[in-house]
Amino acid sequence: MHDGILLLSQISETTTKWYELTQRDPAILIPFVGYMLGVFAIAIIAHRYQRGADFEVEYYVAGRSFGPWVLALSWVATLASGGSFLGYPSLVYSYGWTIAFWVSGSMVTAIAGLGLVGKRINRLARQTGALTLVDLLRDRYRSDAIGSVYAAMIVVLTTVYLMAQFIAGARILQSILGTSYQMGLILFAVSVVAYTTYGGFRAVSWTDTMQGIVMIVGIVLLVPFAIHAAGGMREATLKLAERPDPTAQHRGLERQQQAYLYGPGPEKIVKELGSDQQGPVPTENPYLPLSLALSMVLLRGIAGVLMPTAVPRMLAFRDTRALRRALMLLAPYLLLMYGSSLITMNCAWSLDLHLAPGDSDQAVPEMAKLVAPAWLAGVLIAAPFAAVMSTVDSALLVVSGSVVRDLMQKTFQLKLGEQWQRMLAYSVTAAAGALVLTLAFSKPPFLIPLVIHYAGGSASVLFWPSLATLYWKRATSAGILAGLLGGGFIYVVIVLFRPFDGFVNFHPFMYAFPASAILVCIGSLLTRRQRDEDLEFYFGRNEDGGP
Amino acid sequence: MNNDTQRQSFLKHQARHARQCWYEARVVFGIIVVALTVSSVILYTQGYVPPEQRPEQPSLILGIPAWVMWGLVVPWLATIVVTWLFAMFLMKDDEPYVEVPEEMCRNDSHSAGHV
Repeated sequence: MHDGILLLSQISETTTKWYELTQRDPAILIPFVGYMLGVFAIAIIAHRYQRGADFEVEYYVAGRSFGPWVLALSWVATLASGGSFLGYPSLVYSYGWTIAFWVSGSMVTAIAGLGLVGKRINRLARQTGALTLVDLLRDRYRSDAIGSVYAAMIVVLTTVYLMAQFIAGARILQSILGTSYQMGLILFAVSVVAYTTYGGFRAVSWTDTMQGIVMIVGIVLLVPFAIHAAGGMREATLKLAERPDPTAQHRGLERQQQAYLYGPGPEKIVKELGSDQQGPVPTENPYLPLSLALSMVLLRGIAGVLMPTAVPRMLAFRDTRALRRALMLLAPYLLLMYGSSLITMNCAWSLDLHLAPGDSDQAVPEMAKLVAPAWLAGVLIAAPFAAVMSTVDSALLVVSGSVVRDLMQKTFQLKLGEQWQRMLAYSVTAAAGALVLTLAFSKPPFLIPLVIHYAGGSASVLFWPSLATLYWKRATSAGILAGLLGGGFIYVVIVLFRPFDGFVNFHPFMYAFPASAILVCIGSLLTRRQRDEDLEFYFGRNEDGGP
Repeated sequence: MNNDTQRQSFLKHQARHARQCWYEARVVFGIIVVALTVSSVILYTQGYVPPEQRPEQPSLILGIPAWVMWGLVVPWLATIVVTWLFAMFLMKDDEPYVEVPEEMCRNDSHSAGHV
């Protein structure tokens, strides 16, 4: 055990100047510095691949050369953001075994993510020379409108997501290095933007692979230490059964027996306990009612399929053999990742890890401090940082690809030589990082709710139009636009006005997702189908000569 | 190979690819539906027990609540096995690429048919 990690509240007391780094513990600094050096070494090696290759194919899809390990680990590292290593353990810490239902959708994330569309996207992208999914949609319908709308939605969704990840990265560095938020943010932004810009997609994917290993090793190794410290899993769960529900107590509700062992769980934690003293008569508001649980099951199951940050991997793997092997690697990875946190954090109560609601994001580092040897704590602190970095680097390239490739080159027909393509790609990647850095300085208060909706928004807007493009001959550009715009519009309206909350507590995605599917169908069936000769390229021609 | 033969070959090849992908997508969809339905039904029926009906001594398996074990861990392990079987036996490797006929090149700014 050691005290190398500083809680955020402690940092403000110990830091005198914003640029000071107060961390001196070698058990923290050595793994962290080693990890960062590894990341930069990878970027330098990856950059060499850009010489002599088609720059854009190398920069955005790494020459379509990924084998199974890089595909699997970089895909999962991109999908797992800081939320998986800070937010999710925080939820388990706060609501106990109830979160088992919340996370259960992840059991199909791997097969849905790679099995549903991976092979088809990869094949068509090779044949059309597509470097982004937007390329494919634009190509099938020969529609700049679709290309522009799809690319714009990706840029908006991903930029919002990036801001939150920058803030998460800054907070982790603040904790690791014992510095101010501003210094953490600058260090985080400079390092991640530098290696992403310089190394391109190959560097991003290689570092993501390393980060995927760091993440799983860190979180799995914590399990035996936590169980041992708690005196066994059975003891930990029995103690958790006695845990009082502070929110219910505060609101004067009858104590729910074993609230942390069963659904729908303890009362939802409100930040300002005490602010509702004079409020209306208390009513029960458990964390996970069935409607919300089902929403999360579906969202976690399929949201990762066409998330903008995950899709580039589909365009970059070598062949179907690599895809099949990646699928086999990924299937157990997610159980290990989420299952480990579920076990570890349910041991926390019996170890007297009593964090305030606002500090529960620190549950993993605090647990590491408490039960793990120093070297493992160092790895564990690198794990959430790796998760954030691996998401940010991919998101930066997605924004860059959408702006340079989908908007500038395709929509606005900007013709550039390779040298200018290179300069533009570097500049836009760096500029995207600089823009997000500037926005993140102000820590916008509205950001977090928006980020929670990133996955839901992506699935509501992008899922059905993309799926229809890949598999449905009858899809038309009007249907795709209706699904894109209609899905987004319905999602935003339901988030803003919550018209059904009086009846049932579904996540807004549960309305917008099917609505987008219906709009794709209606819009397509009401308009003229594509000509057979246009469809042939995508669907071929059967033995009988028909399309 | 003349242009027409090359085109016919490409189109047949493309049709087989599209059919196989669509078949695999339907299988994946079926796996998703079955896994999530089975898991959710077990988690709800065994895990959402009204407080007054909860046993004094919770039912645990290896220290984990029984409803989590049967509704999450077991279905998840089963899904892993099914995923492996799918990847090993059902998902087919693509046939070797057939060059895209020049007249069917779709992309002006990139070499279509680049594989």
